[in-house]
Amino acid sequence: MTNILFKYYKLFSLMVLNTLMAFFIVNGLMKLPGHLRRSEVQSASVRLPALTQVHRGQPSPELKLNEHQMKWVDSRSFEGVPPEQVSQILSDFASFAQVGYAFHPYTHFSEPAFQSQTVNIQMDDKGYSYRASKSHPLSAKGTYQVYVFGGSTTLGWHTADNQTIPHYLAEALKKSYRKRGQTRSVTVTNFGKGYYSWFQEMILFQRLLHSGYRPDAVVFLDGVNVLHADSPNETPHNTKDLIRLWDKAQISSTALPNTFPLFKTVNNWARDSYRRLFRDFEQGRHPHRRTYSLPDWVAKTQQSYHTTLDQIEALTSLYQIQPYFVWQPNRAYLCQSSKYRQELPEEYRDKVVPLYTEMKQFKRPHFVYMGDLCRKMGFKKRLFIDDVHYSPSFNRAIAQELAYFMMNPKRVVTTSDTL
Amino acid sequence: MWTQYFNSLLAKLQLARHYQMLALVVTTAGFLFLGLNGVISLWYSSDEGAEKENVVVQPQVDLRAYHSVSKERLRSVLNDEHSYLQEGTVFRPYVQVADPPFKSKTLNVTRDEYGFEFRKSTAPNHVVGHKVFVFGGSTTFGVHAADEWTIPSYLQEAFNTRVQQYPNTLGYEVVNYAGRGHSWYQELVLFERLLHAGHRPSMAIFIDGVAFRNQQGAKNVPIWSRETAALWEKQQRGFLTFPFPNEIPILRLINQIESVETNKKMNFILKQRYAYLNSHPESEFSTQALRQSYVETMKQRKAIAEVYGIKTHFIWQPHGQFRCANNRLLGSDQQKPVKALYDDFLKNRIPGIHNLSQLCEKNKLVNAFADELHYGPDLNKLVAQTIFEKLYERTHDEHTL
Repeated sequence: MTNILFKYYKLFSLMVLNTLMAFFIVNGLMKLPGHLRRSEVQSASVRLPALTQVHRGQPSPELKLNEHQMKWVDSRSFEGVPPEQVSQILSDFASFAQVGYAFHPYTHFSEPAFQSQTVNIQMDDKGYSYRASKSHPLSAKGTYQVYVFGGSTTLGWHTADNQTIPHYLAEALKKSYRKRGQTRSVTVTNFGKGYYSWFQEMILFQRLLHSGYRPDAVVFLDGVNVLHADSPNETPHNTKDLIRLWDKAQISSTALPNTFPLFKTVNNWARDSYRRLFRDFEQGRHPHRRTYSLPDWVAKTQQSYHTTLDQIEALTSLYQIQPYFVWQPNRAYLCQSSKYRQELPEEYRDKVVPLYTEMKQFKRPHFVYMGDLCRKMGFKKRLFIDDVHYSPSFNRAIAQELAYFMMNPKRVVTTSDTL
Repeated sequence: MWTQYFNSLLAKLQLARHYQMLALVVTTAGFLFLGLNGVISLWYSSDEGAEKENVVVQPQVDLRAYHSVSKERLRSVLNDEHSYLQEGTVFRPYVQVADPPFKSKTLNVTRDEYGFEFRKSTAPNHVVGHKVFVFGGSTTFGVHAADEWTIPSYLQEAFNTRVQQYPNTLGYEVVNYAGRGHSWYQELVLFERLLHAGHRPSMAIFIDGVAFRNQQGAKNVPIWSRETAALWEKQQRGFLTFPFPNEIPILRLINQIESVETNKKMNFILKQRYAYLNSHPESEFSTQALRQSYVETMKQRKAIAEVYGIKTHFIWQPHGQFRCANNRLLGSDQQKPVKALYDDFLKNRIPGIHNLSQLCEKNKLVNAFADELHYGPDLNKLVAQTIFEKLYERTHDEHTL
């Protein structure tokens, strides 16, 4: 009896092993084409850098910068900055870009704390982050406290901590007070955040107020991020991803280990039905994005800006804070954009140019239009480091104009005015 | 010749025997694997059984709060609510959490012309001249209540009656913008978003108090922020993967081990990068800090509303755990901060708010709550009537507010 059972068990085990062998052979055969194609792609990518030519102004490939930097950065714009420091700044920003963003309540995202030689993001105990080489108190009695809000241009992307608009603004304000014979301690805090819209800046500002911070003055620099922020809808960058992430987290789905190509095939099939399920789940859950024809878009975007400024001023008057609003320069508008290595995307220019043209007529107290600052400065200098961000010298010029406006709010700023 | 050579080689190497051995080993290992799965599944089933025994019975709705409602109607309301719960929540810019649109007999959430969701209320029976936006948490949204039993609906009914008394006046339309889980600061942000989109109501009513725990106390971090931050980081770092099917016990075990590892990593990342998530309950839930947070928010709402000439009303709502005869009680650790905060608001009156925290006591209400926090239809009606009276309290003109 035992012998018969063992005989059957042996037979059964042979069948099992044969099936397994067949499974592995089929898997191996399925893996082969992918493997061949990968080795082909790898050998092509090995050849690729040798074929790539370094253009004039392009950073050295030895710096190991990211794709965006290699595409857009024009090193010639770092006028007066030693080449070693330029390399350090670009490398630090390559590392900074890798740390990504952190999720933040209400404003969705913000740069996390970061330390390097030229780029430093400080964070207070409540989680508010700001750019500075050293942390400083966000409220201090007897000090003229200025908070500057804006996007990555204000944060000072591709410039060192001491080459940003808020840094130069502090210098210019101190100098201006000295000229007037006043000794006043000035602290300017850089709350510039990558991709931020004017509405996000407002929410960040009011959260700071809710947390008990009371600056003396606030500056809002805007204009460049209109498309990132989906103006006039004012939905922050990444909102779509967050909506999908949130929805996906509410649907459970599983997968077999992808190691075996057969399982992978099953997973792909299952993924298709998951996608269908997800599509059905998302059906009607979210409002459609509003789109506008170009003239309407310009008018609506201006209206969005105006409404946001109304709300900011409601808060500043409540807490007796002096607001300043700056419409910032943009490479797409009167800045000889074509002299840089890469031309800006057409769809960006097509929208930004009419908006900037209309914004010239925008009038309200505490508002200054700097959209034509490139032209005012003359076209000899390269004022942009990449697609949107300013060079250190341009940051300084913007800060000086701004400081002049802050010290003489009733006078119209002209190029001949200096601090 | 070759066949002979091959056969002799096979015989020499005893391949067939070795293959047979391998087959035995593999099959026996397979059986062991299945046995192991069986043991693990037994362990899981005993674990689940223990869990089931320990599970606190889901807070059932207290049916006594619906004494004037027919059984069929109540069943329909609770069934619709159950279906709505399956829809989960949606992520919305700035406000973060919102209620998805929904259609049913008794619970309807629809969208306005700018894409913002609101809960259906009783319709106005007159020409609408003014809009009244009502903000609040789940109590104002009307959890466990039909569309026409919510506070905003009863408020609309009161307006309808008033307009019938004075037919020549322009009427009011009440819109319920409350959201389940909304904190007082979320309400402010939603209000700002609505104004930014182009809405211009005549009046905004903010009903608060019950959801004070939903924003990490005074720290003002909306509900689900930790979960959203974890999702964000998982996506950014590629941790967001599909788990293995839980039906195979050993894969389930692997899932659990992996999730423990991922959670460990996530906790580390969140601790490092998210100062705002680090909890300091003593300071964040101190009565003083909560009061300050409420007052700051109230000031900001008022300042924003004034820009557009909107009248604001701030209601401190009754709480099921404070001076109310409620059969459903929270744990003492949760009751304590409610009592402290509500006592403080009674003792140190904040100018400009209507404090309704003694409403139950004054009206000697019994069986007014559908659960620990949410109101039954009668209490909703009483709250709405009291708010309505407060709205007209300060004006001598019966036509306008």
